[in-house]
Amino acid sequence: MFQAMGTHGPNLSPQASLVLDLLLVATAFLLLARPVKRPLNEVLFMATLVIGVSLIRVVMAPLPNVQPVTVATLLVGAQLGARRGAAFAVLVAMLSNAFLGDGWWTIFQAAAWASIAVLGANLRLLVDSKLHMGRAIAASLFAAVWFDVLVSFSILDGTIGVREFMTYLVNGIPFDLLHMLGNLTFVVWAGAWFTGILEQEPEANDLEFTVVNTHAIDG
Amino acid sequence: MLRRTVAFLCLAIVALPLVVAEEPHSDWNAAHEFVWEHDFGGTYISTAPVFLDERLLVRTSGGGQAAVSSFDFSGNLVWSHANPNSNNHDMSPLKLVRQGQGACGSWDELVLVGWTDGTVDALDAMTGSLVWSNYLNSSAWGVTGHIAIDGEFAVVSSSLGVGKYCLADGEEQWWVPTGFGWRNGVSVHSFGYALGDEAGNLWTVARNGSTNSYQLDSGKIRHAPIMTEAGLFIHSQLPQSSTILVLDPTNFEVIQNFTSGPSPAVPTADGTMVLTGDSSAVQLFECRQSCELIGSVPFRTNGELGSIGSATYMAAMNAPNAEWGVFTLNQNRTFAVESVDLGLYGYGTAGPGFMQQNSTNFLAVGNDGGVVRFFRSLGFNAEVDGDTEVSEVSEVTEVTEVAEIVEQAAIESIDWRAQGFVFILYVLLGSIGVQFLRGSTEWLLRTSSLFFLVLLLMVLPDLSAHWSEVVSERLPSESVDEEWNASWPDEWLDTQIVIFEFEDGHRAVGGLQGSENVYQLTQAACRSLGIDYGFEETGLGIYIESFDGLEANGWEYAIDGSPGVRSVDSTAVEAASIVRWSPA
Repeated sequence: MFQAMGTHGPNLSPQASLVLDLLLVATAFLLLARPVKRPLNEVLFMATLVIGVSLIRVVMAPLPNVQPVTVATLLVGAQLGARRGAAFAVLVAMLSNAFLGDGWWTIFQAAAWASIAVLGANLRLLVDSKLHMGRAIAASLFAAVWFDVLVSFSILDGTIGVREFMTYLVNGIPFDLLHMLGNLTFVVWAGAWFTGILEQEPEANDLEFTVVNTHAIDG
Repeated sequence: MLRRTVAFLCLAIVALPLVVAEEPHSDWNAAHEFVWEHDFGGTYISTAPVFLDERLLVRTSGGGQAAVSSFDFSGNLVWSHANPNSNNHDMSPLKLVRQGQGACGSWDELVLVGWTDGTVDALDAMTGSLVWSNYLNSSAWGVTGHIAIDGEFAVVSSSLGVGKYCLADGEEQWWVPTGFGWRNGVSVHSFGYALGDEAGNLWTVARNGSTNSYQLDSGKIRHAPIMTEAGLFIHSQLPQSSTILVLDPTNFEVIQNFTSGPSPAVPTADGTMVLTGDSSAVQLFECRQSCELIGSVPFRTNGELGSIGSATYMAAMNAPNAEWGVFTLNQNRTFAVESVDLGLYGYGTAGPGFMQQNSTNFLAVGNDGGVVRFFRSLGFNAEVDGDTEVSEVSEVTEVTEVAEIVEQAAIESIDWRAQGFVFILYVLLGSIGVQFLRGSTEWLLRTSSLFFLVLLLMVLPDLSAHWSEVVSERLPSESVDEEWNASWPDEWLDTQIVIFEFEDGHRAVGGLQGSENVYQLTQAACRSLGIDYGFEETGLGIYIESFDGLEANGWEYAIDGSPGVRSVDSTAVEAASIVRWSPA
């Protein structure tokens, strides 16, 4: 699979890479920004989360396509909401790729994980603040395929035809299976624990409730 | 009770592959001792070393060292005969001829050598002096197949035809054109001679030189057809697989047909047994009334196979840092493979040289790194040369030493990493059974998911390689033909060519021959052009990191215009492939 057709997509100049990174940081900032100032512990919590998951991704990089970030973004989206989940996804993609290799594909990874966070926020994975294991497993399996397909678009640089792209996707099926199996393992082993950690943070609904109340009082 | 029964059955089914996957430990290393080695440096040994009394003949080619060298049993070079005109990648096996006489005259012990420049030389086996030499009409790669002996004649094939020559003086009796061939060795039969070509034709040649051809539609024939009791045995090469055919020797119609793996090796016959090999397995057939597959073991071999005694065979695994395989058919007719560490590392396609003399087995092996190693079986008295004699050992000492060596070899041969993984799998397997019996769905899910994750990680390299083969077979990429460059010399036509795209322009080399995969071809090209390359061995195969220190964003290759989809050592090349390397 490696050293294969167009696995790298278009080359980026240093300037283009800088613009890409600025774009990703700005996206994360916009997603995290809100009318009221966030408490310091909330910022520290998000920073710790991003660094911790990025580190796990880097450490697990030798295992081909075992992606702990996919499950993490799914659960962050479910517990903290779509915006913070997407911001988390963008920051983890940026930070971990700083070690693993930055490039055109970072956009696709960030976008794919952000979309998974949005998915997690809308799938009612939490029932009575507890992780619904059946839904979480199904979502994590789907997320693996979704992520792999979206990131595969990064190879399209104008020289790859539809047939070659389809061949590339079919070639990657064993790796998709590994991603799915990895996600399943993360969910059943660490899903409930990770959701419990995130539970210490206010859920999206609580935040909206707080914001509405604050504005109502101010008004 | 039902749950326990189900648990037992599931565990038995899941554990079965682990039991089957266990490779029997080899005691070959314990029964043989290493005597000497010679490193030719920067050249290939692609054909089996040949024993002649107390001499060992070794053929080298590539890197400007196309030669035949003779060593005594102490490793001293006795003589060497070079051919500076060779196009390199000589692959015609050395052919020994005992002394004799015929209508053309008499001859002493000869060694016949076919070269890629189209010449065939007859050398005096004892002195290496040239007895006679003849040139065969050929193009591109001259003589690369097995030379046959028919009475007082040598029958030699070139890339364009086949000729018959007196052993005494090399006088040509006739030369007739056949199909374009590569490693198209000749075999001798009652009807005359047989050989194949790249277009899948079987050629029969009567002793007077008249020819017939039969299109088998089964791929390239790159070995001398083997006559068995069941019929003519041929292992032909297709783009992603191979076909084993048994033909009726009277009309050359296909009687039996077996599908096999890609890049077949040169099959070898031993009595009624025929051993075949390819990139996926080594298979043993017994051919009597018909050919019956006796056994198949996973192995990757693409060159020569060799017999080393009764029902025992040997072949090099054609992979980096791979060991050799010893294949045996035991009394229960179970075909098995043992891995042996011969101290040769890197790719190998040459078969073993083997001789039994005075109850002592002598073995010589060589590889693509240009190293030949000489072994002798333990526990026998053997006069090695005029000055050296192995001291006699008592039976008790011998048994003790062998036992110690066996034990030491057993310890050294353990792959602790693989053993660790297997241990983890067994622990998880046990846990799965326990959780199933306890009825704990949560922990059953946890242990089983981890079990299958570890299992999939272990098999992923092989799985992805096989999957890619299937995909490329079913979904062949739209090939954009690599165009012939008018500035290239005509000598490059129908040979292997490699192009490197550097920022300051292209560098190309052609006229290369004999490489089986992209990695070998790239190595040969780098040697020719003086390009340094960096590579990394990964679980998925070899990854080329850089050329001349330039890493870029990685390097990509294309074969005949089609992007490569697998690792370089897993991707086969044809005899006239064009490989293009470009920075990503």
